[in-house]
Amino acid sequence: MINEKLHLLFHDLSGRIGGINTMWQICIAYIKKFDLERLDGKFKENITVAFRNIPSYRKATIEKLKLVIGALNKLGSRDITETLESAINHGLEELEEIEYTADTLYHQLLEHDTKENLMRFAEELEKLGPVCRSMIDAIGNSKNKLTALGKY
Amino acid sequence: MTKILIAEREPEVNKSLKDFFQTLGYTTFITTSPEEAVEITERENPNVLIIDVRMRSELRLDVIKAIRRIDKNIKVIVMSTYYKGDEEFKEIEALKVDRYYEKPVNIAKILDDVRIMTKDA
Repeated sequence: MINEKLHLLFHDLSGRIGGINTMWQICIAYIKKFDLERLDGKFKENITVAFRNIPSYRKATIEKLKLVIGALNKLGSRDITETLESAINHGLEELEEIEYTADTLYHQLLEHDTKENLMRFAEELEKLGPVCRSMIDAIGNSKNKLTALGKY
Repeated sequence: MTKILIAEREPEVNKSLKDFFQTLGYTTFITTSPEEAVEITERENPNVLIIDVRMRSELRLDVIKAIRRIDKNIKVIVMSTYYKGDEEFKEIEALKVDRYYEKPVNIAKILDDVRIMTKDA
């Protein structure tokens, strides 16, 4: 390992994206494990908490990305830096759009507690999975390119 | 009663996982501290340890080793941001844990693992 600081920053960035991924999956797990009749009170509260944590982790990801980009800039590999920054920012924009739609569906669910609304909310959240995966892959690709250049 | 110890560095993830496993009937303990993970194991004797091996910005495989010294039968599920290709991955692999998941993890798979690992508990 020749760049311990960058290594740690990559882990922190991956960890925040992992947080987003865990939160949406917990929402889905509640929805799939319990039928609508049982999905009340404490279960709904737990879904709400996990759902509300997603934007917090997205914002934390933005902060960690800044630190990663700062460290990458010092290495002088501009193309790798720009590729990663672009991939993560694109992913974050997608996340925000999905969050916005999911939030609308969440409020519809609160107003009309139907199985259909519950499933629409779940289907929207499931879209977060591939976005998180693509961001993690982008980090992996950057690490591989830096390793090939002897900079990681 | 099946007991699960979750040692994850993100407090919000810890709390959400605890709520989730508890609603499914598991007795669940959480910590973000490597030292406390060992203390909880000594005190509560959990059946399953779900652990992020990177705590306080360090690889903490010593925690798994210490916990296994207390209970050699404990099932260990590792979730981590160390990926194949990282130097640390080989160290984790050498521990021969029961399951290893790269983050982002699949919660449904972890739940299935816990069910299978604890079916006789």
